[in-house]
Amino acid sequence: MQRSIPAKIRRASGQPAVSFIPQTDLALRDPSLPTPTLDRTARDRIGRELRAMYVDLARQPIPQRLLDLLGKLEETKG
Amino acid sequence: MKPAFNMREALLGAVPSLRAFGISLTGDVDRADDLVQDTLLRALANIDRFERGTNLNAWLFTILRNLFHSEYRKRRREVEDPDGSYAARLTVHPEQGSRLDFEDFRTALAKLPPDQREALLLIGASGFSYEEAAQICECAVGTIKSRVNRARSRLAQLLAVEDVEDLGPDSMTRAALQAI
Repeated sequence: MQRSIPAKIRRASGQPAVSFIPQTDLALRDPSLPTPTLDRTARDRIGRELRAMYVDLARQPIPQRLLDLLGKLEETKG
Repeated sequence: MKPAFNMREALLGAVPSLRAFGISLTGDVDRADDLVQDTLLRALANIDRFERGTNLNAWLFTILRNLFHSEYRKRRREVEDPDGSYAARLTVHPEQGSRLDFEDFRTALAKLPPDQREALLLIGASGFSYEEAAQICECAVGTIKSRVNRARSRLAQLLAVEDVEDLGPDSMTRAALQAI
């Protein structure tokens, strides 16, 4: 198990900050930006952020009390 | 003879995902670990009822979700807390840069109704199909789809507002963006 991941939830490294400003707003500020459908863009951003958060959580070390609980199981049980 | 299926290993393998689901659902690591522990205990007590070869993860998520909801209902009865303390807990650590972690996202997630939050987590992060999520939540596939859609729309709204606030001291820009 990985033990080095700090408890604090961090953004996965190397990922650019994700903007949730609707694409229409971005287009107002930078007309050169492409304008895909708003829903699709927002949806993709939310999906990426959600998965990144979840992966970070799943990488945290399993608490000892849960390991102890499972350790009591016989190897062959089930 | 080596067992064909090692339940201990299988449960251990499911724990990281169960914890991620529990933490995202409750916003509270300790409470999530209590839920995961109770889930494992209940799974072990009912191991005979698990059909080998079926989806162990879906079975475990169903147990955890049921525990969460019975606890949620109990808490609602015991303490008048209509807004839940979830959001309050998640807004701690203001000293941390909002772009360095998931506070924005988790705070927004916390504002969703639990049924929308769990549907989004199951579909968008836990990797379940709509059919599996419907089974876990004991509702129709269409209900899951609708909850996920509403969750995404609400999150987009919440996060767009927060980003506008992040733009800084240019109140003209901020006002202009908010007016759109």
